[in-house]
Amino acid sequence: MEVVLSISNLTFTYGENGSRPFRLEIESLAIGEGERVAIVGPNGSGKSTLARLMAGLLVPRHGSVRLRAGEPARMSARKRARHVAYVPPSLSPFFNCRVDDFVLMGAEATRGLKADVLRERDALLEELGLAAYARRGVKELSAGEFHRALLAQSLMQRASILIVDEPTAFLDLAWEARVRAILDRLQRKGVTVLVIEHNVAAALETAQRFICLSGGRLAYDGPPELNRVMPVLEATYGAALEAVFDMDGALATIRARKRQERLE
Amino acid sequence: MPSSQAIDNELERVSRRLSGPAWQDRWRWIFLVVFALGALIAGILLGPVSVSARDVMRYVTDGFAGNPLVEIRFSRTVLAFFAGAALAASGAVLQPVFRNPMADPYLLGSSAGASLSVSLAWLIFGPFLPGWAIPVFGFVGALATSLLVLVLARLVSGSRTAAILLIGIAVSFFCSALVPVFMVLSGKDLYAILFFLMGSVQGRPLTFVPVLAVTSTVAVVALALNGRTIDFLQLGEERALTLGIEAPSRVLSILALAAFATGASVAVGGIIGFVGLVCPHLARGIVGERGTRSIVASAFVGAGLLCLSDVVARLVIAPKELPLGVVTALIGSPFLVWTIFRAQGRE
Repeated sequence: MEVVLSISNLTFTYGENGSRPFRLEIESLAIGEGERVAIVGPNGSGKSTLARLMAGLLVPRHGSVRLRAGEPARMSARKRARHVAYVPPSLSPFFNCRVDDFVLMGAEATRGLKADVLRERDALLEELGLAAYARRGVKELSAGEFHRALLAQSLMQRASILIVDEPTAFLDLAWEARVRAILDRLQRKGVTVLVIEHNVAAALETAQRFICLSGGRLAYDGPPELNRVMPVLEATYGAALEAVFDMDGALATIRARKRQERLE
Repeated sequence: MPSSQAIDNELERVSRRLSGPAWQDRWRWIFLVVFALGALIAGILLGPVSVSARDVMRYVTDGFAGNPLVEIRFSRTVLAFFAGAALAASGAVLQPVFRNPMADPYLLGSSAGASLSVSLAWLIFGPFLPGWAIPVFGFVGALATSLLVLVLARLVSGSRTAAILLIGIAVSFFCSALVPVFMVLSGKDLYAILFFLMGSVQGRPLTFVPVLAVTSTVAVVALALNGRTIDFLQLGEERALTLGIEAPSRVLSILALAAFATGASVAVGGIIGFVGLVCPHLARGIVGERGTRSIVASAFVGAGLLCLSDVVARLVIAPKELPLGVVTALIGSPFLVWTIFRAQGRE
């Protein structure tokens, strides 16, 4: 599998000389073409910072983040947008632009306005359940609908790497499953999909590779095998955890043990 | 599946809709043009002493000479027209770039810089400071302060728009704090400087007209050409960058253009508040929010509103005159409150 994204000796801190007490340190990480990677970790462990470094929105203090085409933070914005699409966990537009125009913005700078781009936009609006709202303003959408529009905008970039920070934020159960199916389809098409997840069970169920961050460092990087991951998760989250399975034997959720909650 | 003809038609419609004024909005644009030109004509004709249309035509056909009264009226009204257009277009750009509905052209410190520069000149030269020099000092001060804010913001890592906003506020407060100090130190007749600080286009020579007309038109057109970029920047600098827009450099060039437009306006009209804040909200209510059209529409609204404000300034307490900035503030404040209530009603 060809490496499409690699990190070596990466150090990142916020503020001048690391004035904020957070430090992300990753010695080595290589993501292969078409991989489906889930990144989990407690709040403040550096998941979103890592995602933004990979998307070229932050510049490493030391070390490097490299795509096949070069370092994302040093590429032109247009070139980078052709390689990496990043879906933030939330966004608040100032203008109330139309949903179809908002989605189209994903392709405008990189691919231009063409007939096939419009067809793709219409197909995405349909697939993400937004066709009926296409002419509405984005501010009139619910949080879940807007999150789908944001995903559609990023998919319009047709980048070879898709980084999604909280893919199912604000989504109901049905849309959560549909969005995960869309990410599956993209991966089958060869797109490298990196997902920042809070739902650890979903991460274990859907990803081929499981990465757990703890205090800005890699605590686990390997296959999503429950028995190997559980001890790492318990150490990382600082809580006794239990896996809950559904009647078909599939992993339903991972939660803190109730007994421990009572003790606390 | 739509036919290829349908897709081609849709493509044409989308391109037209995103690139500028749409044909179906033609009545709104006609209204804006008529409002701005109507206000310009009213501004030239109306005043404590009326001027007839024939006097104005004769003055124009005689090569802008021969009638001092028409010359004074023509000069101040045309200056108000272009100053209003420049201020409103700057506001229309700064609000989406900073994603702040309260952003106005003076955010970059231009008003405070102009005040400081003029009061310093007054301290040094006093009554020897010729009338034409006040706008020159104003322009230099406004532009220098805005550039200082932009240069300082370049040194800050992270969100540049947030840095510009905060540095702009800090520099403005610093400059504003020094203005009364210089004024007190000068100990001279402060009428001219006070009138400049409160905004006025009274008594400006005709030679300023072509200078401001060209500067303002160039600035408004240049800002309007950046309209689509502003549509991206309103999503936030980081999102625009993700979608392939060179956001940091585009933000700086757009802000430099806005600073230039504001500096030219401050130089001629002093510090005229509210036009750059209120007009973009009014314009968006008429033609919608997209960048290019809201910038052009704001320019028309700003031009018309400042011409009408100048008429009010010279008529209300005639033969005396109110400072223009006072009138725009008195008209602008209720408008702003109305805009807020209207937006709340929509939501």
